[in-house]
Amino acid sequence: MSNRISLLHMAAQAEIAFAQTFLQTLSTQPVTYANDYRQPLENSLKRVPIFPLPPPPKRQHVDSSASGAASSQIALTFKSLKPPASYTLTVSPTDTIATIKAQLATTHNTAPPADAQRFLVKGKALADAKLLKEYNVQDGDTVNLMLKPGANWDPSKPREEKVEREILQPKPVPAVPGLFVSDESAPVGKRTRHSRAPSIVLSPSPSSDAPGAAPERDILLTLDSETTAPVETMTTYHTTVANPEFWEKLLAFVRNEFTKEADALQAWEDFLRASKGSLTASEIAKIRDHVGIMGMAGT
Amino acid sequence: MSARALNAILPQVEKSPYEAHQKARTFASRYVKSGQYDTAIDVLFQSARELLKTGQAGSGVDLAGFLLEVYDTKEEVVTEESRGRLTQLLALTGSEGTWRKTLVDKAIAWSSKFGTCPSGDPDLQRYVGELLYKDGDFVGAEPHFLSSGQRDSARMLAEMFLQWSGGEKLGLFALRGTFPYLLDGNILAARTFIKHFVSGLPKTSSTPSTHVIQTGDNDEVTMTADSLINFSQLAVVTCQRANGDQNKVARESWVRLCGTYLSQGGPLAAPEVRKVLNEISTLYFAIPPPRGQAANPFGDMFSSLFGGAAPSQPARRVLQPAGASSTPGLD
Repeated sequence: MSNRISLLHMAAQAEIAFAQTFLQTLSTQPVTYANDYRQPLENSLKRVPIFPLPPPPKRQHVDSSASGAASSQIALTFKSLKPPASYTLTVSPTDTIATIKAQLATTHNTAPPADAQRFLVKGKALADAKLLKEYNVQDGDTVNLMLKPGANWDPSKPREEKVEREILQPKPVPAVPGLFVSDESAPVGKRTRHSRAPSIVLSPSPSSDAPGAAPERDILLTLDSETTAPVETMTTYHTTVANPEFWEKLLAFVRNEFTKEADALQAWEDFLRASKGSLTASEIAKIRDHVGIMGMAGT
Repeated sequence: MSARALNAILPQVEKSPYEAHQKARTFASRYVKSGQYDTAIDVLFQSARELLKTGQAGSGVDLAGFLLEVYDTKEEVVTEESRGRLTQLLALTGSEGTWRKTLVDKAIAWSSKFGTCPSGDPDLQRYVGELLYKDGDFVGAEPHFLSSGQRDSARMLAEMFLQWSGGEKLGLFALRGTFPYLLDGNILAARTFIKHFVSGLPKTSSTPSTHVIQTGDNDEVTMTADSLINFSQLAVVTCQRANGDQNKVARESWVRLCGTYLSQGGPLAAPEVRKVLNEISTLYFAIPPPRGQAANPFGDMFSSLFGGAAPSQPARRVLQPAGASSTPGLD
């Protein structure tokens, strides 16, 4: 028994030794295909093959979502931390996120206008074109309400001029869906100032994801790549913060400050996380590629 | 424009879905005949959506299929909006029966015809993959994540495989994600996949001691107890340094890597796997495919590497290095 283990151990040592010399030779060679290389889409395979290996054990099909007629309504609480405000709304799981935003703005006249709202559940932004039921949101859950960068909102005052505007404009009621899709990209007159990044403090939603979920130390603000609002990229702040070199320098700096590598990485990770509000998903990806640190939750 | 038709159709959806379905078809065909494609699309989309909401999967998917026919006639290209209609309808189609599969197949066929990617629009593929993955249909989701090839798809594929494996045969799953992406000339996805896969490996079971080896300035390979996972990681960094027959060192490294790991036997020695590795040898390292029956493909690889004249193969796939714009593509 112990013989076998030591043999295995030796094999592992041999493999590591091989890999070390192998990589030493290899790292002298220039990289032809960068980390984010993908050949031009039109050249890609018509069918990407499944790797020819014995199929893994069949998984039991678990249909978690109640499919079919899901017209039952659920009540959600929309909560904003900064400025503090809270609204409840009864919605249908088959509504698009865009519809719900519009519904929130019409039902509560102190709520921010639909085009300034951002919804987050467990740190994940909800995309306008998706349906509510595509996210793990249940009756009684709390959705974090945030403002898109640059929007102003005072919950203590009803928004008079906005309400008027919404009456003038045909409301995107469920009957006119084409509007929702373009909603996000449509230029919005009110969004001229863009100096403020959204606050990223999130409160956990009451419904927990899975029994073995990680302890809720903090919640990653994962930007859904589809949702990333066209963040205005003009500010000088943004130019610096989106520059991968800046993050590389920051990493070098924190490595200097902390004695343990893990602490340095943690600090760097925290800084990046705090800046995510003003970065697009692709900018974050570029930063990670450049610095070479992958996110813990894959962001 | 479409309001008149919709006013006639939508109120009937709840009580007599069959009527609503027929009316939607009639209105839409008239609009198509008179060339008013956008009106037809709007009528079909909204009618299909309302039918699906009330659980009429058959009628809803039929109208959605009609919608795709109109897309075809109109030669509607893949946009945020045209794709968005489909993803909404797909989300509303439950997983029961074959309705969703029908719609998925048609939607992807359209997107490969009127989008840039031959295997279908990457965003749509990712969406479908995610939908099936969340439903627990891992087998169904895999080809969509592979075809999509986006960063997020590769990340989700890694998560899915880790779940799927339940901690066993992890090496096979590592190969299953890494090599199809490599074969598709997609370093981004291959890297994203294997990095996430390795970082998500269960800490307890098969990987008692990990050993991190620096590679170049800011890359590393994490040696695990599973040699297939190690092989997958090493293969990606080697392919990144490939430059056809221009870089002899990278080329020799690749042959050495394959030789070393294949000599251990196991799943890598299977003929189907060797075939994939040979294709990668050709694509990245311009090593001609072995002649005739692959009795000993790596023997052939060696001989061709050291000057063996290979018969010219028709239409060999060649990968364009980033920035180069000459050489016509593959396939």
